[in-house]
Amino acid sequence: MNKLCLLIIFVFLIACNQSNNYNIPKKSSSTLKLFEDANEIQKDWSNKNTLISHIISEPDNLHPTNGNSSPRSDILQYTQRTILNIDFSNQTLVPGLVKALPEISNDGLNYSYTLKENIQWDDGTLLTPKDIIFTAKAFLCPLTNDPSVRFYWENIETILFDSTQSGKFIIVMKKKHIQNITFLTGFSVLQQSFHDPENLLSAFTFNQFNDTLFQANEYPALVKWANEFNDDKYGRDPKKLNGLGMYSVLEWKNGQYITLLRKKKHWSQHSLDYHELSFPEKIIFKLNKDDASQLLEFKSQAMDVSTNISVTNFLQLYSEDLIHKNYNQAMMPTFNYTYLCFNEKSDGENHKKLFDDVNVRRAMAMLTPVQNIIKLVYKQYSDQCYQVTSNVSPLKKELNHDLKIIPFDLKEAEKLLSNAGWIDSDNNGILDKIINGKKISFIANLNYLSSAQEWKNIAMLIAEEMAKAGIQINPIGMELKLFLEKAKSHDFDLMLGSWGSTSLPEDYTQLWHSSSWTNHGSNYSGFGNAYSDALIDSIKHELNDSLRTILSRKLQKEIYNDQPYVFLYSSLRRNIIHKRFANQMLFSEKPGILINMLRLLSINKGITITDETTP
Amino acid sequence: MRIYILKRILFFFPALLFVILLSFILLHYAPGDPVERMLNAKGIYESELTPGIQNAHLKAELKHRLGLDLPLFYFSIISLNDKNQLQEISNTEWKKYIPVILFHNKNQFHNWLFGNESYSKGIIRGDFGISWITQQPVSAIILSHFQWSLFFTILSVTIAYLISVPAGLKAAANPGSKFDKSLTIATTIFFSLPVFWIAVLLMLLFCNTSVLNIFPSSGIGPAGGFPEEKSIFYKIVNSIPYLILPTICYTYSALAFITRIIKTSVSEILKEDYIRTARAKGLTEKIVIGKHAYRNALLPMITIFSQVFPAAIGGSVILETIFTIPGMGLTIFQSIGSQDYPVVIAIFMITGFITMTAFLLSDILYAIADPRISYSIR
Repeated sequence: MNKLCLLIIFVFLIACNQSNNYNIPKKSSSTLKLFEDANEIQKDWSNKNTLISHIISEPDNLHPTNGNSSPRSDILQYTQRTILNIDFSNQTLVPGLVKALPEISNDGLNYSYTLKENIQWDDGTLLTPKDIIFTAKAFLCPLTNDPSVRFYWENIETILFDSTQSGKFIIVMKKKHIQNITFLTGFSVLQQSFHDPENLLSAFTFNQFNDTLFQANEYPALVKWANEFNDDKYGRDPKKLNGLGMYSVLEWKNGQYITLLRKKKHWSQHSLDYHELSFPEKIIFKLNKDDASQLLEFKSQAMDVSTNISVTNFLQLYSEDLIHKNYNQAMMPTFNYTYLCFNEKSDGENHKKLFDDVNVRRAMAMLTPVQNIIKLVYKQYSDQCYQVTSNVSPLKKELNHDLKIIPFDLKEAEKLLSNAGWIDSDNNGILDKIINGKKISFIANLNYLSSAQEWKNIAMLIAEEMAKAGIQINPIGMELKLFLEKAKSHDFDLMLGSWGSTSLPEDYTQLWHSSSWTNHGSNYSGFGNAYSDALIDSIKHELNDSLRTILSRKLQKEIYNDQPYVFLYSSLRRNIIHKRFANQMLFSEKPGILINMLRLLSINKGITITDETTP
Repeated sequence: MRIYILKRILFFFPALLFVILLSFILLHYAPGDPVERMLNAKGIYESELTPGIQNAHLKAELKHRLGLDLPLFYFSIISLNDKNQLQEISNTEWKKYIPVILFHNKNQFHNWLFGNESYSKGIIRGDFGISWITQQPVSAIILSHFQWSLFFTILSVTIAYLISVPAGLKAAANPGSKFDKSLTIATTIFFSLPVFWIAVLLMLLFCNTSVLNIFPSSGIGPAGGFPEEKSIFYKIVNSIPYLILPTICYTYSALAFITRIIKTSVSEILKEDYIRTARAKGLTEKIVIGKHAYRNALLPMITIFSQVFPAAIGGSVILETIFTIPGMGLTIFQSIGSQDYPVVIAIFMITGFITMTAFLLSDILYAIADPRISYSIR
């Protein structure tokens, strides 16, 4: 009997040891933080293998193509799979549904992939290149409701597949572009037989969908298919939410929660890739918008994970002993950055020409109390927050380290303003200048988002400091819609904003190309000249990392010298995870935590459960 | 009374038509381009991958699909003669001078009312179109949120009436008593306390592990729902803790208001001659108040009751945010904030419809409670 017990324990320990074979990063870095598993298990910890994750807004839908909200993509990564993934430990691309990264032809236009074997859809059928072709056509079809992401697919010339070589397909691109591979990390693969049982899209070519003159509405069958495909049920009804992910949507209670259930006998069952693990049996995404209520939910252990709590709540929780006992908390740097934007090219009528001189913009940068802003926002965590100097995150290797932080310097700023002709001629405490025969006072409106108190605090602080140099700043809070409309129509003097980014190579067209200013795009400031446009155009077509880094640094220097923004800081993501789970890994890339790899600790043994939770 | 009710119903339809027409015109002239919004232009940028012409093409296609390239209204005025010609009916001279309005169905108003073949079924069939933001059917959005606002409104009003009617009557019957004074102080305090403050205070008191952890702080049920095998009774009983604090917050202010209304109106009625007569006749105080005074005090209560349903669709943004209630308040707030006009206009129209129905109902109830109202019409 004793021998039998020993044998069981031995087998059990081996099983436990096997869990270490999972391909989970073992070492922390600047973009990755690992927490040690809890040594001691508290009596009041739940032993349910259900993980409750906090969300502050609902996804717009869970449709595989039609939607673009942040909670949507956070949830889809558990219910859908992509061709490639990002390795969060070193920000490189790794294979997802394919065996390896693509082989690229010399001209940089053909990308050859081979699908992993035995990847099955929920109905048991195998994933084939036909599904990949259908996915691309579904994204490209002009009648599907995905215009905000369609442009990512528009560079595809065609997709070829070799029927003799199982699983092999070649994506043929029209042009070399840095996002020709990386865009595949962001989109789910669709099952052709589920969404298009009659195989209708196979009758249409990529050329047709790419042709701007193609009249999709003249094909009644295509209209009918698109109406069905776009139907809300494919984005909301759990029975119609089909995907290759480890989890399926069990229930979506509007305004309450979304429950995911681990699939039984999923193709990823024996995968060692941490993207494909599925330790929690259920994942519940619970909505809670209220700060006070969130605080109480964590105190009562009703919530397991959040990356969305406010800085105030984070600090409040950090001060509670009870929270330390039950939760791990950490702030992580992100690839996002916050900025103060100048309207460089104001019309002179609705908005005075206050910022068309680079010296004035540089003076404003010297008057912006960036360190104080960081302290105001992150308080005792301010030392973890990076002050940014350019449009590239300090976490990325292409950052131009030659660009130095512009220090707060009132005297130097006053000198620059004086050289630019701004003096207080009438001694009223506000600088003025004669422009086109008219005396103009240095009074500017500063637009900020009224959705968060932090923005208001930052705006007030900036206004306070600028006043010392004789610049009157009037902070004006507004709703997101109005804020964006004013930004895009160049109807502002100054604005506070932030940009989200990723570790992947960036195409700077959207934010910095001069065409994006003339087209009322996201180049709000009006930055840009022939040289910077040429750099941007070269960067997006340069596949060689080293060369691209050189070009990117040149662009950063151009932006730094022109000073269209005062770059403020790179925001910190506030993470909190219950200690009843092991494998805790925080990373800078979105979504910050992969909850599928969080493994429930055994209540009895203090080690990870293997019988119930191992997929 | 029947004639009075019929007249009220007859007035109802033109008013409803006016609300529908106003809703449609507001929807059309609301700022922002629906096609632009649906294309979610902030996600699209002009580059060599997305030339402007491609975006223009997308916009034109979507505009056509939504029927937004059609005229707003399309009708023509012709003479009866011309109409007869169309229908091959014989004409006479006098018919030349009779104008006839012909309505054509290829217009946006017609599509909005009755739908088009592929995209919409029309508001007549309960299809208010799709949200510009979530692309979800507007009727589905409203249905899923309205039920909780209605639930809390009915629950809180019922509780408020159950408590405030006897309390108000007792206070009115015993003016200057300790009960009356206490009630006056309590209702004044309740009425002046802001709901967001009370909600957070209650939460910090009763959902806090550092004080009392009796109620959950968020949601209207457990996250993930109840196990399927559990009975309805179990689900109801276990849902109660989630509903108590929101119900208190929804109720206390209404309770104070209704109590004061009842107390004041009954106090006024108790001073009337016919009450003195009733007392002089030797009727008990219970009969005097319950039968004679209370019936006449019903009118302000009916007025309040008629406002309950329109209020239900309005919901409460503050309480819904604090307690994570999937109600109408937050939906309206977000729709207005994001300029999701199909949702806003649908709510406006439904609110108009419900308000008119509630007013119709209250008019009928007035007539039942006080026959003089119908007599005066007659």
